[in-house]
Amino acid sequence: MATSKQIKDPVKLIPTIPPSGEFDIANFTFERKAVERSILLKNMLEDLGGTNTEIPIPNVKGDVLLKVMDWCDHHMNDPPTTGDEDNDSRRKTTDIEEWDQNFLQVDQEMLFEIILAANYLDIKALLDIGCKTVANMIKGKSPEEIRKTFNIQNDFTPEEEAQIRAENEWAEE
Amino acid sequence: MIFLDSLAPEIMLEIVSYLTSATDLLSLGLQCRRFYYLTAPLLRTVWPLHRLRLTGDQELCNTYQLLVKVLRNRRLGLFVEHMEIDAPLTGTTYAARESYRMWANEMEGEGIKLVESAIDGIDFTEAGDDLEDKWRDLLERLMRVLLKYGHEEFDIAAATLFMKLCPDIRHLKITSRSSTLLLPLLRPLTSSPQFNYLQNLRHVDLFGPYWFDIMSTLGVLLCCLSSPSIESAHIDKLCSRQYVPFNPPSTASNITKLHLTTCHIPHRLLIEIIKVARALVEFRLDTRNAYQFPDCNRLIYPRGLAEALRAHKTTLRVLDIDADERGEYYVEAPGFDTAIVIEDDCKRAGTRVRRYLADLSRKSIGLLHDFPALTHLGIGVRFLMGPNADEVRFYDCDEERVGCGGLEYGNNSSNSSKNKGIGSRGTLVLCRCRPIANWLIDCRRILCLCVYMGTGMGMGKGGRACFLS
Repeated sequence: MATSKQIKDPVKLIPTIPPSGEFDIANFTFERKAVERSILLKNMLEDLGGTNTEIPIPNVKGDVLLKVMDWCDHHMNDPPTTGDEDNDSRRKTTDIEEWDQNFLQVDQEMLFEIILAANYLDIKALLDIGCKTVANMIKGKSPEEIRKTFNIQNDFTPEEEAQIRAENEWAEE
Repeated sequence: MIFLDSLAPEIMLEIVSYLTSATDLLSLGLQCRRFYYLTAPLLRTVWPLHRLRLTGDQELCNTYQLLVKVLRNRRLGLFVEHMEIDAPLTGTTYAARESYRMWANEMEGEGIKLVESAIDGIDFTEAGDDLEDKWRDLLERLMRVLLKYGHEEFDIAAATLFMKLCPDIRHLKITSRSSTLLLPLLRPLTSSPQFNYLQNLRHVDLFGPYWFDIMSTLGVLLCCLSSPSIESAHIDKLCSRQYVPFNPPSTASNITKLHLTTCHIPHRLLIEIIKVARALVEFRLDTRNAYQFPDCNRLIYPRGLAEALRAHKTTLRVLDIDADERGEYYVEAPGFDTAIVIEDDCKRAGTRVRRYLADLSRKSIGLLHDFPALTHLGIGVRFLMGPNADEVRFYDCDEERVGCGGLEYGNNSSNSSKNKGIGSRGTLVLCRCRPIANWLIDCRRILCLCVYMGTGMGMGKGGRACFLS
């Protein structure tokens, strides 16, 4: 947790939806470098100048924010993403490094929350590994298994489903 | 509560972009309308690449264009899951060489060498959305190969390149007319530690060259057996006159489905191949078309085969042995080259039944009870299989004159099926099969039954009867 370490350049993030349990603002003080993993917050800090180091965070639950900042803390010294690699021809591997894999071993609700938070806070690398994790959960599963895993409501009529299957027969193993 | 289907479209698209397998995309698309609209455009992109076929009928420029397309956008290479090579590579440049020598040392043609030297050190996984210099250079070399050595070398070079550009190929099929020259490409699967293509191969379908060439087909089979990822192998034309030294991989093979068609190899080699697998789920053996390989060893020794198969009895679900064409077997464990063969019984119609009953135990591959997992059974009429040796017997029934496989059902009911009317041959076969099927239904295990009838049994060149319940 961020508080256990000596913070050189602290930034306070104040979640508008506080975490469950006791809310201690000290837990929400983070290293500026870690906070800057989020492009949204980085731009905000630049706009605010060096004086104000308290940022309210709407849309992200306190629990989720703590989890996301855990990730940012661990990755704060990674080289910043340039955004250049965002083209379609890059090799899309689904390899995830071990620390990240363990980090994302959470229940589905939390995984989706992390993805939404990463999307909102604009943390590309975290969004990527989140999406990869979901993709890996889909891979190799039959339609029925996917439905069971993610609890998805089927809104096809039997005829429609049969037609899609018939049209894409080539894709079935 | 957040669900997968409530995520924003841009996030869903990001997730979908990590799915390259058509099967996964379809599985996701079948969840709900929204997901189908997300995955359908990608499925349309994947479709032309899902099964890549390099054939002789394909125009050269098509292959070239496809190569350029994949080189430009390497993500497209990820969509290729099946690759079939069916180009007429007759090997005019190699015809003079002994094929095993080709396998052993001089395997690469000039085209492959040229391309190999060009792609050496290129990381096929790195990004690149335009044709960089090295790719231009590669294509230039490919064109030089075409001009200098002709169509054949170009096809080989292109096949090599595709194998490297498509890391997710799961199913590789090489047909007879291509296999002579392409088999050497698969050799590095075992020999080279830095071998970095075809890493995700699961299924291999290989049709051996028109002439028998045990070293190369056996070599590929060995590759399949030693690869940790390969699950099934279908090798056609594994033929040899004599036993060839077989160096099995050091660890048990992960292969679960072994399908050997037109397999004419000495008994000992066959047994050694079966023994390498850790747990076979499916075993199919077919010794048909023996007339094409008059010199090869086409006889099997049922008891020895059964013994080897019993090592897989807990897992074996599909057993299909079609070795009835000639009606000849070893009756004793064969030596290396000796063949003690029962005379072709079909020629001695008068004494057939008695002889068969006498030989039943020797010609049987054993009892069904020995294979508790079995659900699919294909067996020749001369191969006995039953819950115990007395219960079900297949034998030739010469009173019917057509000589179709008859059945004796239990000790008491003597050939009840004989009295049934004989219509066309097709109905005759089914009529013979019904009691077998009834008995098998009683077993409640066998879901599919196929009975083979050999030559000289009234079925012309050998027929098949299928019964599904």
